[in-house]
Amino acid sequence: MKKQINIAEIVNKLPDADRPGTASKFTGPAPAEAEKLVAAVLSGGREAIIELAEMIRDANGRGEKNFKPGYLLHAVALRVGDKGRDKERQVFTTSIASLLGGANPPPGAQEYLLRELQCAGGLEVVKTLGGLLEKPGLWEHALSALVAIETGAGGPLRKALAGAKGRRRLALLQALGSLRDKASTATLAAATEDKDEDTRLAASWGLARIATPDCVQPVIKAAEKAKSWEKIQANKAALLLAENLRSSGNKDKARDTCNLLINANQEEDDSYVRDAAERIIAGL
Amino acid sequence: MSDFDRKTTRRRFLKTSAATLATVTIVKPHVLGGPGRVPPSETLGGALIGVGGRGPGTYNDLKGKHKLNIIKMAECDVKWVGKADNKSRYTDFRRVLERKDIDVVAIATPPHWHALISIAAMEAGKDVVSEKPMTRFIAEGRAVADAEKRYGRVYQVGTYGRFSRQGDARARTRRKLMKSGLLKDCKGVLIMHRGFKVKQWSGLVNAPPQQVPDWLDWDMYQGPNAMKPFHHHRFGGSHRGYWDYDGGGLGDMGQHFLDPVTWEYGLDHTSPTEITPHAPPAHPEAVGMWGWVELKYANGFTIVLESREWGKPYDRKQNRDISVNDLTPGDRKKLAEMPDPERLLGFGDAVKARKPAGGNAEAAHRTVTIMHLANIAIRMGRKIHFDPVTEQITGDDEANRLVNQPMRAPWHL
Repeated sequence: MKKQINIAEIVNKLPDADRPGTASKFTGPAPAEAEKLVAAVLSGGREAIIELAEMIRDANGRGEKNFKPGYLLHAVALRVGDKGRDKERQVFTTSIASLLGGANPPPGAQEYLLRELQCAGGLEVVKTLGGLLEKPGLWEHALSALVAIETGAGGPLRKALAGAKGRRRLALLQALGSLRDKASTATLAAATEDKDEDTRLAASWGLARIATPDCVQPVIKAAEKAKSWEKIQANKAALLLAENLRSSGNKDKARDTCNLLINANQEEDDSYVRDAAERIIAGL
Repeated sequence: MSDFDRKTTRRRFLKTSAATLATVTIVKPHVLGGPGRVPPSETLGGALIGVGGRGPGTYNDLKGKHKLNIIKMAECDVKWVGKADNKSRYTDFRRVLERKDIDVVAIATPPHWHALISIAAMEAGKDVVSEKPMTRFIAEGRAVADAEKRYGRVYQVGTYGRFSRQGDARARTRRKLMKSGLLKDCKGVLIMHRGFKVKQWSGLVNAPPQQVPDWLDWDMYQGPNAMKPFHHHRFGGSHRGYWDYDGGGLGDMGQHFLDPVTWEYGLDHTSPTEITPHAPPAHPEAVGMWGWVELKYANGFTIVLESREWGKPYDRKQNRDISVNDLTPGDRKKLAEMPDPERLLGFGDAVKARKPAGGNAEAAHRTVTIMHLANIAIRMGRKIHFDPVTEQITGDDEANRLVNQPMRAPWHL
């Protein structure tokens, strides 16, 4: 049986910022007092969490008083993330997730809620977050939350990539690389030939992190073609790939990668790249 | 004649010399200075990225403190929208780093850019002096240290307390004692309550959005962070009060105070394992108040950071020095037979010798990790455990998410 509680009353127990509009010396409540406030919110279950979250009006809870609900919600997110509180954590995260994607709360408030899921979310909210990856204004925050959660994030990211363009496509490709999503190897390999430089670089970096033998050819090919800043970064991807291949026991492929990279960097100013590749070979 | 008017740099010198000598078609860096060395007379090309605040001082140290013969080829700052000529003044650091006539880069941006630009500079073959704090989170530091090693570049963080400590005989003995491995159950406790500027560099919890000034590239300023509305307090020094950019007074000043400590106590290759905070719940955006943080190493040595600006005073342990008297007579004899600590190389000498500088990336990373762990514990409001080998927080997934934070594309480590 959930307790009937007055969330507004709990929120008002939080201290004001010391002097509104000036540099804050905001001290928050003492830990023991904060613990009581958080416990009071949690005792109200899902309804209390939703009521608290709905009090947030914009990103970061801006405004003289409006920071209080966001601040308290974050305190709850931290408390339920502690050991042995996974049931409470899931109630918290699924309650917040139920508020996302609609017209209300306002977009700024939904941004804030997504950042709380980046902090405390788990597999239980991955599907909801995946559904926001096409939502203007929210997708980038949902993506960060998915990258932080990691577990189960690859599927929704691959799905969202299908229709993505521009900056969103770049961010999704980078996220797949960040997650070392092996199922995206072919997609990333194709993206090393994209017309956009940032996309090509994100793809090479992602392949370097996945680091299976079939990543060598596209990464080296990209490094051979690149110029200027792109060349610096494409060389980095090739060296990372060689290091990761070495770590996973693919020593022959690591050596091949280094030798190909040395061949692709024969200018006088490239000697430090050749030296780096030679150091990897020496360590095999 | 300004630095920008002068044209002779190390690489030009190398090319000219190589052509004159006509003995080699590919001249490796530093080959003209002997095996692996840059001749002291050689002129280097320099660049400053982040020209406000400490920027000019950090760059001028290259000539003064580090005694390098260097010519400034470029400066870069996100404040120069409409003023950059992409010849000597830039708004995008990538355009600076792709220049081949720049050998040394001084970085004095806000801290959330320190790691990414340091790494990119070393990837471009440059040596780096970066202002403190070295990084914004732990994984950034590991990536900087990896880049330094991978590319054989010289990195120095912009704090030099350890250099003065090596002149103190007691400090050298403490280092030798800690590094010896003979202290099995170290009882040392070091309580530090220097000026962490906690109140001074806290953030606003109630900052409304403001119009971005037309002279500022806000997207570039925000960089790897999630895009947030502009507010003037997030910029121009007071950025220190926001987790997006720094870690408050502790994050910003801690590297100065802890750099000599990590050298003196031989902590350059390890990190604390148990971190206990005393702080009110943290705000997710604005850095706030804290009381104290106790950081214990695997061998028992404990550092306590105390703000004296909030909460009850630290009373769990007392200051307790380490000494050779903590050893058995047999171990004292062994210690006496061990060599004294090696002298640290200043950045200028390290560049010339192609050897690690005293404040190299690994050492600087282990120092800044102390502050990051303290801030993570403050932000979590609970004790955390850290594995100094894997550099992961164990048993606390929520806290561990602050070790390696997502970056907004196209920025990544």
